[in-house]
Amino acid sequence: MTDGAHRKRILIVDDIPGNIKVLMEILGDGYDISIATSGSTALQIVAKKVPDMILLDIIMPDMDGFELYAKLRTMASLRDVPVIFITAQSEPENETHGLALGAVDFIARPINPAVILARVKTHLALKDAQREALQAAHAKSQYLAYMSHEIRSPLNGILGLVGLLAKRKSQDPKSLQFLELIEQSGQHLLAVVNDILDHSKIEANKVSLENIPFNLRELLAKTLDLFSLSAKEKRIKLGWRCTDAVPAIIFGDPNRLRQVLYNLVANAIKFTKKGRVDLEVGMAGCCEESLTVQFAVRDTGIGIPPDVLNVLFQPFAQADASIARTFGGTGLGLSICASLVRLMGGEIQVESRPGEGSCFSFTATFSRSFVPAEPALANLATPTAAILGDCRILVVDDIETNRVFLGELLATLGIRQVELACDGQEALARLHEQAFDLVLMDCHMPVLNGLEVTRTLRGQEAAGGKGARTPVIALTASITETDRARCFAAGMDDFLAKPVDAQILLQVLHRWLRVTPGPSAVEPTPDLAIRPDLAPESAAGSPLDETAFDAESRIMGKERMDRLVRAFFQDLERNMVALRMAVAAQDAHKIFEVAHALKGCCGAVYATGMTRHCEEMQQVGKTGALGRATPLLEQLEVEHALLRKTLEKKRT
Amino acid sequence: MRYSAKPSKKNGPERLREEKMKILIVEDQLSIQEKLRFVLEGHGSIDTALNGREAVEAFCRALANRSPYDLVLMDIQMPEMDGQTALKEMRKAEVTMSKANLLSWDKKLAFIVMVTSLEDPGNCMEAYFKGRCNGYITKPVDSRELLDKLRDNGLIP
Repeated sequence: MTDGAHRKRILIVDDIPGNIKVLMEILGDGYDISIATSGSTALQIVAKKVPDMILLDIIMPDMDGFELYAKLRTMASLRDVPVIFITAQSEPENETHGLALGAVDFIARPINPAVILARVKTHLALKDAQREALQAAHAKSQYLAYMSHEIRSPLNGILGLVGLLAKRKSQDPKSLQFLELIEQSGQHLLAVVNDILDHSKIEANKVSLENIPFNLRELLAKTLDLFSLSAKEKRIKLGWRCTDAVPAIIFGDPNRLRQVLYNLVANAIKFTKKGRVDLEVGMAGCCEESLTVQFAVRDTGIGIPPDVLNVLFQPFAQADASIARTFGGTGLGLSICASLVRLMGGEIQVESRPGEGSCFSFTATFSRSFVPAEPALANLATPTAAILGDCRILVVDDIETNRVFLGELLATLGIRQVELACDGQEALARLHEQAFDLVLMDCHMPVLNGLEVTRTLRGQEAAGGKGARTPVIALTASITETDRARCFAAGMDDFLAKPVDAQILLQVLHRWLRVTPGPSAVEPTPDLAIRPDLAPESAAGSPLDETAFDAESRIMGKERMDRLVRAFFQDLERNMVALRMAVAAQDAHKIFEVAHALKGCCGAVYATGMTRHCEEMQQVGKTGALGRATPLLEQLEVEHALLRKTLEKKRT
Repeated sequence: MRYSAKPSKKNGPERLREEKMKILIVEDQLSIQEKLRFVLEGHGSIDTALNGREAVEAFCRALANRSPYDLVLMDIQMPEMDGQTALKEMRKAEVTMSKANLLSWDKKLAFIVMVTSLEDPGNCMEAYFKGRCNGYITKPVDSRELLDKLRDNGLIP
């Protein structure tokens, strides 16, 4: 990009040398002058080097000024270059014409040196100011997007954890209430940040639309479903209509469409005290390749005053305090809608009568057929990227941050159909409802963990007798031998270590997705999926976190550490005995208590593997899922023996 | 005097001590007792109890003998009598003693820290806000966190 610091270049186009001489005398000192005595020469000059300004005589033989001007305007590089027409005083109609064409100014002969100098200076300064302003705006947009991103990540973490906290049964009502309020605030903040991010992305033209098949009627129904509760609370009737002419499946960006509809319906409900909100969809036009659909959100709400209607789709129209008080929100929602609608090839408009209601309507264009994938996917150097797009994957993880992360990761790999489930129960429900090509299952989830879900699924598959088997890939932070054995035993097919690596995930997907017709019995080669470097405690198969243990020994001193280990052995024996009895007696509460105590002790000597299994046993006790108790106990027996041996060795 | 009286930064009592601090660790797992013992070594004399009942007995005995405990570290989850119940009993005993003027004027109430696991903060918060305990720490015990807490409240220099 050129900066404004160089000596400005002016191109003078005039067929009469005498005129040029006059202008050169006036402007020659301050500026670099190029000369053209005809239109064609002028075009040649600008093709080589772009001037900062053009002074253009209107009356010229062959190609007059206006004709040349029209040609100049077709050149993209000259779009921002100010053009000043030079006319004779007796031609006022020329001036009007010139300005109407887009010239920034005109100068009449005889030329007044002071005037022309001033005019040239002003216009050049204006150009500079405009460029600086645009740069500043761009920089601000980028900064805003960056900050929003920085805010969003930890905010997602907070919301994820708050959600987890709220799920824990030990919370008292007051705490739950506080958590709900925290979550609401967090969600609101997230919405604001997302809006800002979206808005700046759109401004920077960084948003591109998807082109995937979706069921429009399903989208309408699901979107309105989100509002059924709030509409009910306000006693507002909510409905949608779609004419038969609109096909069942269309190609476009359902998420962006949903975003626009969500915004409009949310507003409609917000500003309607009684009556109804309707979503009406119909065909506005179609051709072989594409179709245009008309959407309208009609409400019987309080309406919008005419002076506000004008600024409604502008960003931050609510900068006006009175509007902000009425509308609330971030001030970006409708502006984003307008931009998105424009991206979708349509226009948005609003009609409203205060006291009667409003109608927001827009058109959007969709394809009838599949448009090839974005070039970005080709970078993955995998020939089956297009086929991956057809696969349907279920991600099961109780932590929202993880779910979202995996969803995005899969999307970048070309998987467009990803469903997310937040616990074992939901996973089973989804698996019952629809077929999936693959399931990514977190092992450690509260209530119903990954292994239990898989076991149940396999049971259902066997009962179904169809021979169907959905590949289930375990997501786990630790891949020890015992963990792997347990996963296999539960019916899982392969593993992925957390944090999930994109390349490894892709390999796993290729291995398990039926990208060629017909099922195939594939042998898992877990060595590819495992990242031993990420599971420190399994590095040497040690039940201890050796590093931490040794560090603690150094701090405490050998003698004290010895005393600690001896105390631990006593705790270990005592608790194992109690645990055996509790499991035998199927006493869930006791199991919970003992497992909890044992967990604490194991933590004290950094026996990480055993700590985790105690946690699982604790869960068994808490949830009463006693079926797991015996296998877990066997596990613990093995581990505790190994732990004892390891610690004895450490003492010598 | 071993250390001078310091006004506490938070809500701890001002302490004027001429003899060693008396500490009671209430924890049923020996290994964790050991760990806590290691952290608090050198800051006072340490007694241990294996459950709530033993702890309350020891606490009341000390009160009766005019040498009450200054600091109590108590796990919430214990057999026979859990931490919360024991806490209630201890505070009740203190009230009884002070009403009967059997508590010397310069001896304030015991500083009681509850030890809880991450899964159960609700319990602790309740105890904390109802003003019965003076603080809580979570397992696994972070020695620095514990010492900071004690320092902030003027129990250790």
